[in-house]
Amino acid sequence: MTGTAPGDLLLTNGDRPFLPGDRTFPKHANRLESDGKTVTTFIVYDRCEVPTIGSTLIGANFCPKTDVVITSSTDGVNWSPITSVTTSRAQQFFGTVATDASRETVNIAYYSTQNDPLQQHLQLFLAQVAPGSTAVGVPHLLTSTFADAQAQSPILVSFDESFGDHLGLAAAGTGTAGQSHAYVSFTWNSVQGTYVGTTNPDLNNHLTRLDY
Amino acid sequence: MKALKTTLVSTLCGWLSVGGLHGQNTITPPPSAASHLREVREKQNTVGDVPQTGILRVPRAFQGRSVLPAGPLLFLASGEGRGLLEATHHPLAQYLSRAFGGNAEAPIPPSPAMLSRLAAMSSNGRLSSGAAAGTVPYTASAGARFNLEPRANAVLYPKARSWQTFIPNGVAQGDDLIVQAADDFRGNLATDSNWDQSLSGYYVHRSTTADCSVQFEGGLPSFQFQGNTVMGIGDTVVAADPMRNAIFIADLRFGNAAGVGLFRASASTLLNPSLCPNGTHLQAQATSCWEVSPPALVFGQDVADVTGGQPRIAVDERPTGTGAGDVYVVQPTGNSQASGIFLAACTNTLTCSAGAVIRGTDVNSIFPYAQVRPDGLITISYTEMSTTSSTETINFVTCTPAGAPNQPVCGSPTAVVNVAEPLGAFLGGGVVANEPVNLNLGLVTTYPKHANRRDSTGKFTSFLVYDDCKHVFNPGNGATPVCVAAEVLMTLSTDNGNTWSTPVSVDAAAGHHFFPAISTDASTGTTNIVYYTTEKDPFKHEVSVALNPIAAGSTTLGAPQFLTKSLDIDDDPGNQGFFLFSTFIGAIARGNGTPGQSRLYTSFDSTAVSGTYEGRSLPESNNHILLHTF
Repeated sequence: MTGTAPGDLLLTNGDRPFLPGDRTFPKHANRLESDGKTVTTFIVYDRCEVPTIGSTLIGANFCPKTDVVITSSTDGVNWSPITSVTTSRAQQFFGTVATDASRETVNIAYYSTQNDPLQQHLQLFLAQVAPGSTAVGVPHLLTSTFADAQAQSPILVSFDESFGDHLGLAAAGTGTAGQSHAYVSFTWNSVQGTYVGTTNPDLNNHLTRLDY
Repeated sequence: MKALKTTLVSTLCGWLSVGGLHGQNTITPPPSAASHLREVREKQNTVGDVPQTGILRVPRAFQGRSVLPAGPLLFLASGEGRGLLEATHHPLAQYLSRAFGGNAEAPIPPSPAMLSRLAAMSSNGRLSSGAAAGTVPYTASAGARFNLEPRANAVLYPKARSWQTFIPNGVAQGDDLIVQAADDFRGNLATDSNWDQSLSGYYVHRSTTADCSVQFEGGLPSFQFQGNTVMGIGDTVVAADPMRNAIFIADLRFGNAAGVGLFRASASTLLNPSLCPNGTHLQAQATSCWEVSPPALVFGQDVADVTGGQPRIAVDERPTGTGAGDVYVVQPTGNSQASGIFLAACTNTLTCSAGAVIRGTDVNSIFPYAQVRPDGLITISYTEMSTTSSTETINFVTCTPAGAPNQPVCGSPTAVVNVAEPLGAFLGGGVVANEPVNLNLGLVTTYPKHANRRDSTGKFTSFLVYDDCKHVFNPGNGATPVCVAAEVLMTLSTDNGNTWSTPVSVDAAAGHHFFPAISTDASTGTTNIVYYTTEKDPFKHEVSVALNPIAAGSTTLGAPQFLTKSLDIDDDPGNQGFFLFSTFIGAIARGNGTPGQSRLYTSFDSTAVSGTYEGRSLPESNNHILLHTF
């Protein structure tokens, strides 16, 4: 097996850094193009779209605008300019990517707070890159309800569990339009639990699917 | 161990939680801050192998002391506080060595990012030079932001814990003179080109347009006490004397001396644009506005021997009688000589008694709250913490005025109620239990307040409200119990506080109810109980301000009603839940006796108005105000 030396994606693209001190978690997916030889690699990650701001005495910065970005390469050395998966307002994060080989479609899932004026309530979105293209299409809203990332299960409060740091995504199909499925696993708290007789938000693992 | 609870409460009543107290639900996008805060918490909030909701690190200067001071003083004694003040060349930095001596902690400088932020904040263009433009409605669904801070690069830390008062028709017929006080973090971080480095914020409406606009704001000025400069470090409260057209503000003071600063400004001064110009005041304008009458340092003492919690003030608004026009100051404080709830009496022109400890109070007494009955009797409620458990007792005491500066004569405190499950209960080792889940505030703790009503019989009914935990959930495995349902309760006394009724819930709806405030409109006899409720939010996170009135002559609660839409009060940019420590909302009601013409002003924190950061809009914490007429 042969390979290439690791490339410095950040420096190559001259982009702003990953979220400082955070667990920004880049993911990638490969797509075999129609020529049967070319493989396009897509990398998706979260970043701070604007310079981060020093905010606390304990040293943390905060980002006034996170987004999910994508870049692609056919050789792993040269990467396309980084572009946002969406131009929506508010915060997009936990971007993840998976290719449906049957239809050469790249799926990108992420959380977004764009529909909450206070930018706290989450929804789940999925965007796609069509076969042969590297451009991201119009995202699909996968959840009609919201989750509140500030709300936790009482049983987890003391242990400070949370919405985690990533989404799960898998996509596959038969090659026939309408028979491909993109499954997204995500953390959600719209389903209440009961604690000493009192309903309260409860974190659960959820699953949803987009057919295309 | 008990002293630690005092510390804990005081810390969150004040400036900055040195140890990062709060331990729940700070997970919010963007994830950068969330994970960082988690790491900090994991480092700081672990007892043995069991993560806990909150642990306080007591600065070395106060470790082992039986009486511990308010948050601002804890901050000043910490390495983080010293580092920040030195980095900003804050005048308070020069006093730290003397105040804390060999126990002063080594300065911990702010991060480079923080320093960069400070530089941005001290840049030009952040000083408001004029009054808020346009009409600002009183009754918007989120109230009105009640400060003048520019929105671009708004200070990340909140303007919080606001309290307001007003002089009815103080500007013109139908237009009240409104003064709000709050802790304003611009005093910590900005240089004197933007703010006068006082944490004790004031905000004044004096427009002839009867709206909620602010014409000027600032930090209460420094002043001299026995040759020493004392600066405002927050814990700011305000009261009015409509009979004499005067406003009083008190705050904590620090320098080469410490105590409670007490200021008086007449309505005519506050309405005078020469003395109190429009815009954001610096030291010169703050001085001309608030020091026409020389301020007093109440409970003044050597800074090296200081402790003290948040003060409260109350004014005897009667036209005549022993004590009429007097101003009373209460504070949980102490030094090497004495400790407890201190009470001082000041004349309307701020000649004050030395102050004395209320009999029966000690180092375990916190949260004093003073009122003056329409007959001049001084009523004080406070919390007494158990020395053997996490329970608390709410006490009540009456004091007879002697005519300031003579010291009032107080009776013996009586127990109002024993609170088995107080919010923010101390379990020992600095661990705090019964924090309401999903409220990302620094600390939500039981804090009783009361109001007195003169009944048609000429006797008085005292109403006392407090919050506790209705349902405690224990996660097990050694984790700290949390509160899944906080409630507001009301009890009353018709015999001068000797006996009290069985407490009843102010709002039985599902959700958290907390931070009660209470004010009786003497003109109509209506008692207004205001509080936060999460009833509208299934996530128990967003709050609404709610009102439950008690009609004149009645002792029965009415039907709760919402005064605002759902608000976020805990989402300052960067997820500053660690630093959000609202411990109350404010309420004051007055009228002319005609139904429909009484006014209830409520002050509270909200992130309804955004700031902009790098050109992006984000919710930002501000002091708000809301008018309700009845």
